[in-house]
Amino acid sequence: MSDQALVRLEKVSKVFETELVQTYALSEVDLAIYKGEFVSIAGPSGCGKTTLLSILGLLDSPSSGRYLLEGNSVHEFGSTARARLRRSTIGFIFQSFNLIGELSVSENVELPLTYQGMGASERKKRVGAALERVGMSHRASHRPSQLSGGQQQRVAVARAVVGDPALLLADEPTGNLDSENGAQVMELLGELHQSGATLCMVTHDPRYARLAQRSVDLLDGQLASSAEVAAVPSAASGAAP
Amino acid sequence: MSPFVLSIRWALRSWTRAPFLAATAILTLALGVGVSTAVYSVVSGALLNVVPWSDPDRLVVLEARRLEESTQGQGAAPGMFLDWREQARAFEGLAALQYWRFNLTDGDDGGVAVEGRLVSADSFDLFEIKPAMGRGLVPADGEPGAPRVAVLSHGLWRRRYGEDSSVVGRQIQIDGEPTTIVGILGEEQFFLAPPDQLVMPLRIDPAAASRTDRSLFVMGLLRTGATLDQAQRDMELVIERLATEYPASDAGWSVRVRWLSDVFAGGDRATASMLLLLAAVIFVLLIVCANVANLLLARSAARIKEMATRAAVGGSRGQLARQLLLENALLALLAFPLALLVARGVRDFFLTQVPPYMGWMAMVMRFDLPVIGFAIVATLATVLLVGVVPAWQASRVDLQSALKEGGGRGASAGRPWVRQLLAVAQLGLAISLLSTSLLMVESMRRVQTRDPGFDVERVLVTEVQLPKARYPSEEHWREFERRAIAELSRVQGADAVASVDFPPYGFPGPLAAFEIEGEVTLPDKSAPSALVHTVSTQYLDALGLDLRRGRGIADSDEGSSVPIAIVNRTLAERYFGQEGSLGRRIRVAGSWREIVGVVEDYPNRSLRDPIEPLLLIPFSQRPHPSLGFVLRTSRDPLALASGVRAAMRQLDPQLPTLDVFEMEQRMENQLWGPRLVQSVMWILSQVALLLAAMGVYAVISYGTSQRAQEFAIRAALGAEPGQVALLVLRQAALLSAFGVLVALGLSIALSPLLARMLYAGTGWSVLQFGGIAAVLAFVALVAAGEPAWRAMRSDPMGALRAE
Repeated sequence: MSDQALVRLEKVSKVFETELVQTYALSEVDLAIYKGEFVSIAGPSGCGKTTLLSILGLLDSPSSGRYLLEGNSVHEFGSTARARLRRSTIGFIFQSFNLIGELSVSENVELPLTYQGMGASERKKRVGAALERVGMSHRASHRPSQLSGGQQQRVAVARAVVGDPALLLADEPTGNLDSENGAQVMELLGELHQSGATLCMVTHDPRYARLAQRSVDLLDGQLASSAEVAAVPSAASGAAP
Repeated sequence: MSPFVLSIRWALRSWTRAPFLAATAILTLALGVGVSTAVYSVVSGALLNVVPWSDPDRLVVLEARRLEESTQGQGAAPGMFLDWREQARAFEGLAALQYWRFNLTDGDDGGVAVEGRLVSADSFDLFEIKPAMGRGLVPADGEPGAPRVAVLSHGLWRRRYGEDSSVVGRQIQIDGEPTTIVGILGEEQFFLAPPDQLVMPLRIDPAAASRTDRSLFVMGLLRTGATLDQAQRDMELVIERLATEYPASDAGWSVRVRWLSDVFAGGDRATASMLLLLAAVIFVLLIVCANVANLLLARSAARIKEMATRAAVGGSRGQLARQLLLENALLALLAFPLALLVARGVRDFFLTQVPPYMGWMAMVMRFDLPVIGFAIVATLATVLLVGVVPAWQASRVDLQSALKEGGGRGASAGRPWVRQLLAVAQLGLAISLLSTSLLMVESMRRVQTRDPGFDVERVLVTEVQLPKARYPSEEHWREFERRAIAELSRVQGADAVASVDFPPYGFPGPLAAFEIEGEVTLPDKSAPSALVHTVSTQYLDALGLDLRRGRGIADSDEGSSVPIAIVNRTLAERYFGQEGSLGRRIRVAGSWREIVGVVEDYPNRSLRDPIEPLLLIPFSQRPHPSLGFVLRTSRDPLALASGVRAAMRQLDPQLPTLDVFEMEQRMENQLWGPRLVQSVMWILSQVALLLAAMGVYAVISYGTSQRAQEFAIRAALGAEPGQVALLVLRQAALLSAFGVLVALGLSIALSPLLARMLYAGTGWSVLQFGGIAAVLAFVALVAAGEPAWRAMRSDPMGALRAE
């Protein structure tokens, strides 16, 4: 197995402090995610799944430990560099979709490209392709409020992949969807993975966790287990150490 | 579409999705900035535009002051001016200016009386004034025997000559003597002569220059680099030398060097008014800032999730802040034209407060580049200032919690205390503005109810300047005055007629030093001084003045009889005290006079001014070519106006057409300035009150919606609707209480400024302040009424489900 992990966490801890108490959301977590891998993070409520994903997505910083993304020590980066990495390297899919109500479907998808400063024609081409990929081209001019939950999540997926990020992070992507829509979104994520995307998904639904190549279990902020659940696709470099 | 254009599109869309909030913010901005801009146009007109000079920091005024009294500054006597000009070193030059009334004749219509100035002939060169047409005065014009020349103001040229450019070079008659018009001043060149006036050279004969007739207004141009202090010290050395050289006239006097802009703005009191108005403008703008900031903070709290999402997909803090600031700039863009409309309306209202004879104020209160610049800066600064905090808060959102399911509601953007602090500040500013405004109303009420000393409602006034050409000697003046009084006495309805050189509520006349027989003026003391007016026998009757002791002026007080004087009560008490003044002799203008009467005090200059010592001298003993006539009647005074004009035409058909005024109108005219300031303050305070009420409503309303869950839990636990409402009202009461404290501090800070402009005796009272605070607390509670009502009617289950 190559050591060229896309993501590598080394003894990462996250502590939330108040005047009276220190709470360890994560405690000395070691994790590596390889290019092309589909990893699910599972665990009970409050075990630190979302905190872990937030750190992976550079929405939050570890209290201690190292975070290497594509070999760079990103835990040392300032807010501007982190924002730059978010827009170039990471795609997010949230449980509550987090589409901006004032923007149309295509504008929501276009948003990360706008922050990248990409030219208008290139943006248009990429947005068209992303919407096509998730089957939402026909709703491009609609507002999020005019879409069903499943459709909104498809748009959120399109927004996450439009910048062609190295790492896709999904936080309970089916949490707000009924089983039919949930299955469709998972199918979409599976297709993205099949086409070479690196995916890290937080879920507490074992059905969806099983769709990943590797499932990481968290308990009380610590890595409880890590197990391969499916054959590693050819695009992946290997499994976790 | 470029990212910038896209951002504009987002900003537009974001406001169209919150139209009520956008409209409130735009109207608030327009109202606040509009009113502030209008006030700024007044202030800049009064402080800046009246001194159209590229380097106003070099223009000063030299005022003579008595050493031991804090009297108003006085002019210089011609002899002093010549010495000052020769000896002072801190100045590029000094210029003297004397107010004058001219008779302008250029046809067969008898001519017109024109106000104007005699100015030292080198003034145009010194102040680099280049008339719009022709030339200005040159030093040679001031030489004795030089041909008589005049420069017309733009307004006079337009009114009298219909803007005929061929008048330059034309010969006209001024005061009966041929005079050539050599130049026309530009429309905005009213530095030396206000519109409708004319300028002629001041000629001083050094050999015969008076040292006691303090009628010259002296201006100076500081040398480059010289400071006001240096000029002051320089003049003190000059004054010291002159006091030794001319102890009788110059000892006991000092000179104060002041900025011309301060004096043109109306002196200390008017400057204080302008500063107070500027402070009020800043207060209103701060209230606007607080209001809009509150709106934006509430909005940004509602947009936490959106901002977090933008950050999650790669928006940097700078990009997010830029987006928010762009949205705010859009507000500014929309508010700006509205603000200009408001400003225009308020300014037009202000102009209705300006009396017709001050119509030229419209020219200085103009909407020029600096005023529009002020509006732009005020709008942008307000919006950017208030946008910075929400933008900063939005960029520091806790992304993880904001992006969670249910996150972003009531999260960290906009801590409640920030909004509450802003509301307290608004209330404090509004209360202090309101109380200041009420103090000014009270001050004006006191002024207007002040006893003018005589019945002003039944007196008519007219003034005439006898042309030297046809009235060359004192005998001519005496003869004219005698005939005029006889002719005016025949006007139907005239009960008493008298003459006076300077009628009350106009130019008060020069201050003259006098000597008291038997008293020696110590070297470090200045000689006593008083306003000296020459009046005819029936003056006291015509005005209805109360004679306290002695007698009035009798027919027997002729030129050849013993010179006499009547003094006012202030002069008698100040210089003679308990000993009594009757029978004492004083020397004024070269001759000894016996005091034969003491007349009750009356405000001579304006109802706002303190009483100054006054000497009344019989016209027959000291005739003057400037003549005013006062007529007492039991009818409407203006009904006599045509009779007065006819009588004067009968006397001398060639005399210029006379203006005839009611004394009451003259008195009112003196109060237009403070009345304007009072109106402006009143408007500002009302706007402030309205905005503060809106601010309190916004804060309480937002707070109530944020506490919906708390109220629901309380209701679920058994709280009655009234108890819930009380929670909301208590918050409003607390805000008001803190607002009152802030207002108290501000009011104390403003006190020194107020004291300079309020009429004596007007001041803060605990009762008044308490009353205003109670009113504001009431307003705050009313503003909290709707949110309290909403809280009372909150649906516990609905609110709990929403969470």
